[in-house]
Amino acid sequence: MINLNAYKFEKALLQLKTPPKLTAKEKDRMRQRKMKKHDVAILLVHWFNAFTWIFMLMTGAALIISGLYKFAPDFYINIVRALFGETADMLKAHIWLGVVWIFIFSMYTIFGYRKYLRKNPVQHAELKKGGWMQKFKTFQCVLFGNKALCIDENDLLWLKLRVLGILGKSTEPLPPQGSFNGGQKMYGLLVALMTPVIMITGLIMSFHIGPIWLIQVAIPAHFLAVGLVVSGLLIHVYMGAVLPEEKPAFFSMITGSTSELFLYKHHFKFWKKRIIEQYKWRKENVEEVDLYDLLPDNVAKEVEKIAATIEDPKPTEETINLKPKPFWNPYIAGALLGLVMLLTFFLLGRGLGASSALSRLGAYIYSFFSLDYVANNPAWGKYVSHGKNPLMNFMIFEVIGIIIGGYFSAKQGRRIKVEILKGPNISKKKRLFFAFFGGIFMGIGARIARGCTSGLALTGGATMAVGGWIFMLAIFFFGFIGAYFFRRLWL
Amino acid sequence: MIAPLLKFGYFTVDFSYVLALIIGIMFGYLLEKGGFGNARKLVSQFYFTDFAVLKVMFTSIIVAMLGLLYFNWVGILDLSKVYIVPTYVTAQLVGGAFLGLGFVMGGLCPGTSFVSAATGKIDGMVFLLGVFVGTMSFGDIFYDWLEPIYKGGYIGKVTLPEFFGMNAGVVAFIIVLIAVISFWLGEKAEKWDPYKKLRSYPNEKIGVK
Repeated sequence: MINLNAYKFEKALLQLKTPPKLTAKEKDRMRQRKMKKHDVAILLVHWFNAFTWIFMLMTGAALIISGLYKFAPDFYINIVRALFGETADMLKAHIWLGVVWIFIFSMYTIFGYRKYLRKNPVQHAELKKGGWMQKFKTFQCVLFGNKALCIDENDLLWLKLRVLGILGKSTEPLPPQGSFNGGQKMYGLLVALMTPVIMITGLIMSFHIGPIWLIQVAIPAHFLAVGLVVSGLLIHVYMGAVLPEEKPAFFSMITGSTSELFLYKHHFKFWKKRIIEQYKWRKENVEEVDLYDLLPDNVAKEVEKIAATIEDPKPTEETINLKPKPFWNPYIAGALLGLVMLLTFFLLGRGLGASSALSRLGAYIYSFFSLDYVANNPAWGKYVSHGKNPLMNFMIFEVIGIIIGGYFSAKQGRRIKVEILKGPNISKKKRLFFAFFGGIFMGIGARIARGCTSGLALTGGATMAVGGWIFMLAIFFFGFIGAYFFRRLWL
Repeated sequence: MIAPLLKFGYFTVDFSYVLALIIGIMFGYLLEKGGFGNARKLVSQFYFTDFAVLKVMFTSIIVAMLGLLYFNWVGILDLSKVYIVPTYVTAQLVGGAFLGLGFVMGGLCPGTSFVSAATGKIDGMVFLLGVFVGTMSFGDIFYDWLEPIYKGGYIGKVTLPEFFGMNAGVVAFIIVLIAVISFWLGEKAEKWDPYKKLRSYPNEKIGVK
């Protein structure tokens, strides 16, 4: 069992330049394991774009009828026109969808740009370096604001070897790639330059903006820009959807994730980034992470070898002090909890609780708007009967105490930290979605059963109430069954 | 018989709120110390890696239960004045199912989510919001549909000794026996690890130390 610290792991893995060979078994395991590649926003924009382009090209080709530019055969133009009934309607549809497309893309650019900048900021120091390649890179980096999309020397080499490879003239291995390969980046640059041209010329043509000569220039410019994008599009679609080798890339545009094996082979740099993220996350949540469990044997061997040459950073006093203290022994914590519960029975003749504090709070808020509604509600009516204030209750004060006590205990144990606790294979958004959804389940369930884990299971269990025991057994039974179906959230 | 002190008028209801706050502080403190502010720790019970939930729950139930019986036996606490939860078999079975499923989805329960939120866990805060929405939706939206379940299977404020017609001491003894067996089974199950093959990283257990 090899257990490296996150610092050494990151340094060592970054030094690994080419992906080592895998065994058949490892390949199989990595093929099963999914890794996230694209955000939902990217998927939506991609497919919106794809369908818009299909529609626009279809109608656009049929709209070009003047002798100079016409290229579609007559029968095609007739068929498409017949579909729309009239040429004017087809033109209207083309313009209408074009405007929607411009609007959505402008929104996506305005709001998406900030996110890109935050993820992969362009370092100003890098932009100042000389050389024509660097200048070119600078230009793109400014254009995209994202390093992951900039073409560098590595990508040019990749392009060269890929073309030679397809032609069967080279068997040299391709250099490792980031989240986008050289071809994708090149095409990205072309599209980024041509899209504004298409948009602006399209608007000029549709709404006759500006003098006559401008419209006359806009027409060929529109066709030329579309032609350039389409020529790239053919390769893009061929690579993505037809070439069997790139099939996982196609499916990743549907599911947003792709197999670890594909990333390992085709986007090694990106794979390393994901693995380092995972490793850091796991180091925080699990004490010991086995290198050979996380990585394929050959990679683990290499990393171990490189890591042996890396010096540990000197631990500062701060890092030693920040380590959380271990939790108490559960039997001791449980026994003390039992004594607190006993004290509650002794003093007040009732047990602990939690969930009804929330419904009391809700009823209190409602009572500002309509006391009648609360009083007549079968669930909250008892909170306000005889002019009672729903907040003047044991539960409310107890729950305030729980928050204070929990905070102080965590402070003492150095466990105060703003974070999201989740399983290794689930995104933060998904975790929060399921936390909210699980909370709703709990809220409804607690009201049906007249208590939650503390109010009914613990208190009812201690007073030997039949209902408390039925409830507790039901929680455990359905918890263990549900755990199997929700295992992706946690394992 | 002097206890429960509140019921025998040793202090006012207003003062009981101060006691409630102190009890709450102790409750929250112990929950956090037991690791119950951590969703991963709580949920790891259902994946057979850490039975802390079962251990803490059963130990506290046993201690409080035996304490109640002992105080009653020596004559300082009147058990008939202690609040007993009414039993609605259907409601509590269905409610338990909801909580069990909600537990594995959200990883927390209402009491522990207060602790989790207090220690800065965003999932705890979102969960708490979910509980609030759920609990209010019961009265606002679902009550009419759920009423037959909510009121289903009512058998009164029955305790286990009454239900089985046995002496309370005997029932308590059986509960302690069951608890000890379940502790033993829990310790065994922590080594069993049936989810090993289903984990994304087989050697990595979900629990938190």
